[in-house]
Amino acid sequence: MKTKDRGCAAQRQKTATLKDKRLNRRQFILFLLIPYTLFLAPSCNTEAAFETKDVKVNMTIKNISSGFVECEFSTNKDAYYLIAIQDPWENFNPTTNQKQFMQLALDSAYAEYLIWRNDLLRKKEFNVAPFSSHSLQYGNTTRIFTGLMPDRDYWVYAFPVDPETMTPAGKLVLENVKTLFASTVEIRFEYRVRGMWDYVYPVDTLGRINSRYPYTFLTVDSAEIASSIAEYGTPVHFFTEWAIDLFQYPELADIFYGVKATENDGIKSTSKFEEGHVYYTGINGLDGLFKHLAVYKFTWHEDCVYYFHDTDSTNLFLKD
Amino acid sequence: MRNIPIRIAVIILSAAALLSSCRFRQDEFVDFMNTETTKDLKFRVISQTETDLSNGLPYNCYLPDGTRVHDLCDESLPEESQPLKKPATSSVTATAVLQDLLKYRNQNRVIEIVGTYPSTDSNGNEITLSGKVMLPKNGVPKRMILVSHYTVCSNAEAPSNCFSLEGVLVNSGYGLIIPDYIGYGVTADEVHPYLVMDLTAHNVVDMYLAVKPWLEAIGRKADDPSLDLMGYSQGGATTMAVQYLIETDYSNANDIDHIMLHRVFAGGGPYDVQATYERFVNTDTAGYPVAVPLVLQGMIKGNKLNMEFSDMMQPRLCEHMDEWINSKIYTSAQINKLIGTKVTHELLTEEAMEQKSEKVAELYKAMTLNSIIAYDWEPKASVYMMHSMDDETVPYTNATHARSHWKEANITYNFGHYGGHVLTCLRFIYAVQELLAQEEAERRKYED
Repeated sequence: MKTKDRGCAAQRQKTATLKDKRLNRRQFILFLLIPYTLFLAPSCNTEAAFETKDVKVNMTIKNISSGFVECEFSTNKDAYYLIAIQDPWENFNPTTNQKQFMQLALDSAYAEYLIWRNDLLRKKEFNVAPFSSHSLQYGNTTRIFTGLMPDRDYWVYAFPVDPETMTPAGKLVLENVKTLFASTVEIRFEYRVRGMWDYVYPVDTLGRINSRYPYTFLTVDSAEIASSIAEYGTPVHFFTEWAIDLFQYPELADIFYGVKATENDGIKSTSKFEEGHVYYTGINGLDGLFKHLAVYKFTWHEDCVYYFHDTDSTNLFLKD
Repeated sequence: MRNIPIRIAVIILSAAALLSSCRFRQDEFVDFMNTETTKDLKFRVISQTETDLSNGLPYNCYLPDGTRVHDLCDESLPEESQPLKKPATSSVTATAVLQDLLKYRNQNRVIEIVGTYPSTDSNGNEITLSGKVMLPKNGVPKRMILVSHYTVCSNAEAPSNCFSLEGVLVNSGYGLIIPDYIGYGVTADEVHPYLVMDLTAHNVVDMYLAVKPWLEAIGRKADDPSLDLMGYSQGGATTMAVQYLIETDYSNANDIDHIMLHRVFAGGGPYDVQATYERFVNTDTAGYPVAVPLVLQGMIKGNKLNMEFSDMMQPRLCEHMDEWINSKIYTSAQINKLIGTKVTHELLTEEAMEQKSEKVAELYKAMTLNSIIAYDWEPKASVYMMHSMDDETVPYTNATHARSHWKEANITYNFGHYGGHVLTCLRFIYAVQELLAQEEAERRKYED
C-alpha cells in the first residue's frame, strides 16, 4: 500500500509538475499572444498604408513626342511620391544636389496646396483633402505630360515622400528628355455624326483606337465664322488660328483620350446642332503644331448620319 | 420556512420590476404608422420594425454579392461563394471588419421604417417607389445620411426588404434614408434601369425630399440640418450623380427644396462607364459577368436606345435575361455561376466588341450620359473616395480616371490594396464610421 501510495504520490507530483510545465507553457503562449493581439493582430485600418524606408520609385519613359511625354511610375513598396516635369535649371545639377532639389520641389508643391487649402478654408469648408491626396501619387501611375514645346529639353522626375513630415523619403529618379522636333505618331482622326450626337475616333495605322494620344476638338456653326471665311475664302484659317492658340496656351485645351462621344444639345455641351445649319469640326492632336489637324464640314439634319475619314478633311494642304 | 417571506418578497419585487420594465417599453414605443400629423405627407409608412444590434447584424443582412452576412461565418461555405477571402496584399479578413463595424455602439436599437414616396420613371410618369428610413431608437439623429445602395440582384436584398449594411451607422447616432432603386421593393416587377444616373439620382433625391418633412412631423428632425451622401459600387457612382444633381438643382438657399450638403462618401464606383466597357473589351475579361447584362439592359432600356439585346449580347444571355436578371430571385453570385464564363467575347456579340461599329456608337451615347466624369462639373462639397487597387468587379481605372478628371476638387482619395470588391465595401463602411467619429471629435476640440 505504501509503495502504491508512494507511487501515487510520485505520480501526483509528476502530474503536478507536468501541469505546472503546461501552465508555464500556457503562460508563455499567453505572454506571446497578448502583445500579438494588441499590436500585431490584423485590424481594420482603412487608411492607405505607406512606407518611408527603403522606398524606390521606378520611372519608365514610354513615349516621347513633340508635344507630350508619357511616363509610367511605380514603387517597390506602398508609398507616396511626387512626380513632375519642368524646364531644366541652368548651372544646377539635380543629381549632385538631390536633397536640395527634392525639398525645393516638395516645398513648391506644398505652397500650391496651401493656397488651394486656404481658399477652401475661407469658404468655411471644414473637411479639406490632405496634401497627400491632393498633390502626391500612390500606387502605379501612368501620366501623360502635355503642353510641351517641340525640340526642347525637360526634366521628368519622381521621388518618395513622407506625407507626415513633408520630407523626401528616398532617392530622386530624374531623366532628361528632349521632345521631338516633329511628331512621329501615326494617327488619324475619324469623325461620326449621328443625329444630335457626334463621335471622335483617334485611330492608328491598323485601324485600332489609340487611347493614349491627347487631342482636343471644336465644333462651330459656319455662321459664327462667316467673317473669317469671307476674308480668307476658307474655314481653315479659323482652325489654324485655333490650333496656334492651343499650341501657345496648351493649358486652355480640354484634353481627351480615346473615343469621345458628345451630345450637342447646348445643355451638356457648349455646342448645339440646329436644323439646316452648316458646321465645321476641327480636331487637333496636342502634339506639335498642325500635325494631325483635321477639319470636317457637314450640314446638320435631325436624322443625318455621316462618317468622315481623314481623306474627307477640308484642310488637305495641312496634311503630312 | 424562515425564508418563505423573503422568497415571497423577492418574487413580488421581481414581478413588479418586470411589470415596470414592460410598462417602460410600452411607453417607449412610438407608432410611426398611425400619426395624424403625417397623413398628408408624401412619405407613407408601410411597416415599422425594431432591430437590436447588441448581438451582431441581423439575419437579413447581405453583402454586395448577395451572400448573407451570417453565412460568412460558416466555414463550410463553398470556395466560389467566398469572394471575401483574404487578399494577398492585406491581412484583414471580412469577419474581422464585420466585428469592427459594430465597434461604435452608442446605442444598439435601430428603428426601421419602410415607406413609399412619389417619384418619376424613365418615361417621366409618376411612379410610387419604396425605401427605408433607419433611425436611432433613442432621441433624434445627429445628421441624416442619404444612402445609394450597391448593386443587388434579388429583391430580398433591396433596402426595404433587408437590413442594409450601412445601417451600422445608426449605432453612432446617425439617421439613414435608403431608397430602393426602380425595379426593387414595391416596383420589383419593373426592369431596373441599371446605371441610369440621372433618373436614379432624381429618385434618390425625391425620397430625401419626401422624408425630410416627415421627420419634422414625427419630431425626429436631425440636430444638424445638413446632409451626408454615401454609396458603394453602383451606389458610389449614384452618390456622385446625386451630388451633381443637388449642387446644380438644389443649391439655391432661397428655394424651399434647398439641400445643404455636408460631406460625400463614395466607394468602388463605376464613374466612367465607357472606360469600364473598353476594359471589358480590350482585356476580353469581365471580372463580374453579371454586370454585362445588367449594364447593357440599363443602357438599352433605360436610355431607350434603338437596338435589341441580341445586337449586343450572345443568344444564351438574351434568352435568360428575364429568368436570371429580371425575376429578381437570384443573387449576383448565383447569376455569375449561371452565366458560367468571364470571357467577354462569350458574352458580347462581334459587333459589340468592335468599338467603331454603328451599334457601339449608339451604346456610347448612353455610356457618356451615365458616366459622371463625362459631366462638365466639379464637386463642391467635400468628398471622400475609396477604391481598392485589387477590385475585380469595378476596375480601378474608374478611380484613376476620377482622380485625373477632378484634379483640383476637394476630394480625399484613398486608394490602396484593400482586397476584392466585397471586402472593400466593408472597409469602406468602416472608414465612413471612423471618419464621422473623427470629425465629431475634432469639432468638439474646436468648440472647447
